Amino acid sequence: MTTTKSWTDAVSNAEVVLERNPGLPLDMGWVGRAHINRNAIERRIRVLAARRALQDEWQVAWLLRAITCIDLTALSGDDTPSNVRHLCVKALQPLRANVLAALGCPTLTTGAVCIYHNLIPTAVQALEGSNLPIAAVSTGFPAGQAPFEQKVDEIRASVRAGASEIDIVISRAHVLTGNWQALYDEVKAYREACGAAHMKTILETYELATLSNVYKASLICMMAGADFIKTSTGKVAVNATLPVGLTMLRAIREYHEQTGYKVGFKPAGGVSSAAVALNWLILMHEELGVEWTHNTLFRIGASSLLGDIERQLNNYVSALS
Amino acid sequence: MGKQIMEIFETMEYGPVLESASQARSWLQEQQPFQLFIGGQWSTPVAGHYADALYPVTGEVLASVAVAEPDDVEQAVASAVSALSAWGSARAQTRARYLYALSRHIQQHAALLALLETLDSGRVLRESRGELAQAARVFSYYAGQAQLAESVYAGELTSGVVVLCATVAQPFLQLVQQLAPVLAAGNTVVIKPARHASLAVLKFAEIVQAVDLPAGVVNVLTGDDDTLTQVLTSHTALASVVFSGTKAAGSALRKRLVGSGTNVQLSVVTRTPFVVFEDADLDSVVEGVVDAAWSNQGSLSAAATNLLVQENVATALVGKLRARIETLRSGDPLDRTTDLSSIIPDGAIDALPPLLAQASKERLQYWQPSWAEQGTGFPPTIFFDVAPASQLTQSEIPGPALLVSTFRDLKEALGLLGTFGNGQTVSIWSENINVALDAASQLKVEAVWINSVNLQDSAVALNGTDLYDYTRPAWLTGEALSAATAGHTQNKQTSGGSLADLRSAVAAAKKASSWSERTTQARAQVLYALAENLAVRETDFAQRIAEQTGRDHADAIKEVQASIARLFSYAAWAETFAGSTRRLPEQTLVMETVESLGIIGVVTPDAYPLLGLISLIAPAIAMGNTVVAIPARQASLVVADLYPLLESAHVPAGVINIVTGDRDVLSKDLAGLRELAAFWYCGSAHPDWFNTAQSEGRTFLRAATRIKHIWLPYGA
Repeated sequence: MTTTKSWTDAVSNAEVVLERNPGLPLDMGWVGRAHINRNAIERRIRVLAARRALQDEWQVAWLLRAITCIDLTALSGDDTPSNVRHLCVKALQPLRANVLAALGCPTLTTGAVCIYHNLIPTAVQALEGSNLPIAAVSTGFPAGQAPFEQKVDEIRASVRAGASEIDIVISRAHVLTGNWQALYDEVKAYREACGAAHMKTILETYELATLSNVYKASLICMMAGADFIKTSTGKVAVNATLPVGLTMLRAIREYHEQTGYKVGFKPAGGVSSAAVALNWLILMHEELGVEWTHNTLFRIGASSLLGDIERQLNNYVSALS
Repeated sequence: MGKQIMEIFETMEYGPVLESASQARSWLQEQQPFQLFIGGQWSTPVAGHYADALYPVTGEVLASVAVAEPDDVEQAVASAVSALSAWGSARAQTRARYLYALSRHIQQHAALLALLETLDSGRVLRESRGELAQAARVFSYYAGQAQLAESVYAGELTSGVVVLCATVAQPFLQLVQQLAPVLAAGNTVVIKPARHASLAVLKFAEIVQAVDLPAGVVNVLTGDDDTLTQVLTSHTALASVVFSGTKAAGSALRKRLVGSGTNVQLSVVTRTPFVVFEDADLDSVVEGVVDAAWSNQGSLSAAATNLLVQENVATALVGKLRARIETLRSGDPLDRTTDLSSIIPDGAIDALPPLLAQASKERLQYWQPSWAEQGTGFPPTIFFDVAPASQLTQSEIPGPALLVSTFRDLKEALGLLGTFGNGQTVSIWSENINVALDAASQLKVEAVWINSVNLQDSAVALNGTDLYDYTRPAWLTGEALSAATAGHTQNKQTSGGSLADLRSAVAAAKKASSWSERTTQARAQVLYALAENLAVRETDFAQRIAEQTGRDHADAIKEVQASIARLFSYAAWAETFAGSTRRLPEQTLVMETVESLGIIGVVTPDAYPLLGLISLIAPAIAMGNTVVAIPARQASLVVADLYPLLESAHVPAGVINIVTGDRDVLSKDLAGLRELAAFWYCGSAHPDWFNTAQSEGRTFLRAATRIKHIWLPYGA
């Protein structure tokens, strides 16, 4: 099999293979020490917005980076092979060739495509010859209210079908009832089912009631072996917000400080404008550093974001000439 | 160009996002040279001297600014005096409309004012801008206070000439917070901005002209900080001086103006210490420290210097703090991505080396971020494990330094705060509401921010921005002056009480401090009982007063009756003058608690010996203070008659202590005792005791209490 390396693979130094987070035994002592102050977190987000800004070439470069982090997503009941094929083509060629040339960018792809299990074969076919990852949502996405064995089987089936990334949803009931052991066991079982495929755990933070719950659930998912923690399914009223993101990033930082393992982060749902995408990148940069602005540790789950970024970049390029 | 984009794509660095200052530069070019603003006109300084205002980043000359001399001061004060009667007696509505117009104009010119502040001082533009929005709100709030003055403050406000004097670069917002209540209460002012924070104030003077504020209500004098302050504050026509500067300069000023009849309000540079408990959200603490300790180049009065952290989380917190400081960006104040201005405030440049030398002498570890250029300026500097006895805790540090100390429990933390002698604000961090409120309630300060720092709201008074504070008579504002009267504490034997008697009175008053813990109802009961007992013996007391003062009996009866009424009033106030709770946007509660000060020293006047004594003692004890009083000479027999009354009214021992003797000698001795929280000296200057608007009510209650605001942001 010949592989065409994506832009990020070819150029970026950050593509040093990361050691996967193997997880830890559940440490409830650590979870119990978590202290989260929502009001202060919201204040930090307001302050940050006033302290960082990007313009001109810097804004363009950061938007290109954002494209490489997008999990280009189609998660609808009416998805068919045809629209998923279009999605895959777009993921491989997110910008027009003349725009890329004008920006001096040799080649560029999104981070992955993100689809339902049934459409994996279509994507495998459409992406053949590239090494663009296919991410499949799983475990009874979005509500996660399916029988446990069925959910584990769903993961195995998707991996067999060609998904190299699995976006699982946690059972929110385990968090709301404080059954942390059950949450840990569930996620650990999913990780085993994933095998070599990378696992993103969707917390669906809107349904977790408090930021303390978000932080604790983040820690436990990492202890259970998550490669990424992800905010939302995109299917509820409120999805990725910056205060929730900041809470999860602080958990990632704490986990890294304590264990040395780097876990990635994926906001999803509602990230539809270039400006919002830049805010997320700035937050990653400020809280975790440059390494976490690369698609090995940062993804954005979005469907319409790419269109807005494209518009911004087209405008920039046409202003050049 | 294309190559550069891909380089940034790799490094993910930030680029410059520079704000244009051209609007401010062209305004300065058009307006300069700046004259003095006196009596609504721009007038050339008598001596014809000017100084250059420089942009500290480049050293470019921004404008030429007049330097005022003593003769100019004379003219400015004269203009404020002549504007006083019309402005002081203007209808509330008139003053309210002017203040609202000022608010509107500040809002319109906020962008220019912020740029001027940044160009002048090198302060980060983001901070200047944020504060300017607030400055407009402060004026509109006090427009409301002015509007309500006739009904809410009914006749209780008196006005005069007030000097607002700054010797350290004072943010424009802070000036506005002082100025707005002063104007709302009907005072006229002379503003002396600090040398490096005058351009925005000159723009404000232009606004004063634009809204047609009556000539002389606001005057602005620019010039040399030290000489101008000296001359201006010495003027005899002043009612109040509001001084912003270092603590040392502030206390020197207060000492100098003792007994001058000028009320002194200090807004001295003090810092907000952080107290961090083991159950705090440490990441959020770090952001709070970064916001507070390094705002305004570390020289803001709201900056932090002491970080007290519970021992078992100290290592974790310091680790997080260091990592965070590494990501701070120091640079051009006009750049939107700058956290810290590269400009070091005056006085800070030379301050660091001696600190480092002292630290190494004390074997204290310290840390600076890797981006700091060694040996230049004053980068953020953390000193670790600073013991209470360290010399570092004694110095006023003008730059962004943080002293970290550890504590084991709340009691020790409170002790450390006492030792560090910090200011009037504290930031407390704990996710346990019991711990946080326990700490907050035990602190004797003006503001406690729980899990936050420097929250402000124009409607929540801070640091004496109540209208009463600028209209309070000078004799009711004296704090204990241990420094001022040192040397006068030698015991001079007199016919009556001695220093030893005063000391034992103070000791008794201290022992009775549980009086403040009594319910307000219990305190009211005691005052009512005292009033009733006095009523029973009305004629006896009237006779005694008539004997001692030579006044006629009817007049003496009138005095006793007024005294009874006064006791009734303060019994009522004891249960009425209390705090409140306010809910602000962004999920924040502000609890205002009214607390006693401690021991108040009271010297009562000759005229109306009983009524004068009661008028001062009653508000003090109604609010939970204990009192050591030195009565008028003529009152000694009246006082002797009072003792049995106190007993039968069940005033607890030690709550009211009276020492008779040579009043002048005793007063000086009493003022020198450091245990006193306040000292009221009512000599020849006193109100008309029969006029209740002047001699009873909130002015006195405010003087007898400390208002503490506890800010409690919440959210799960």
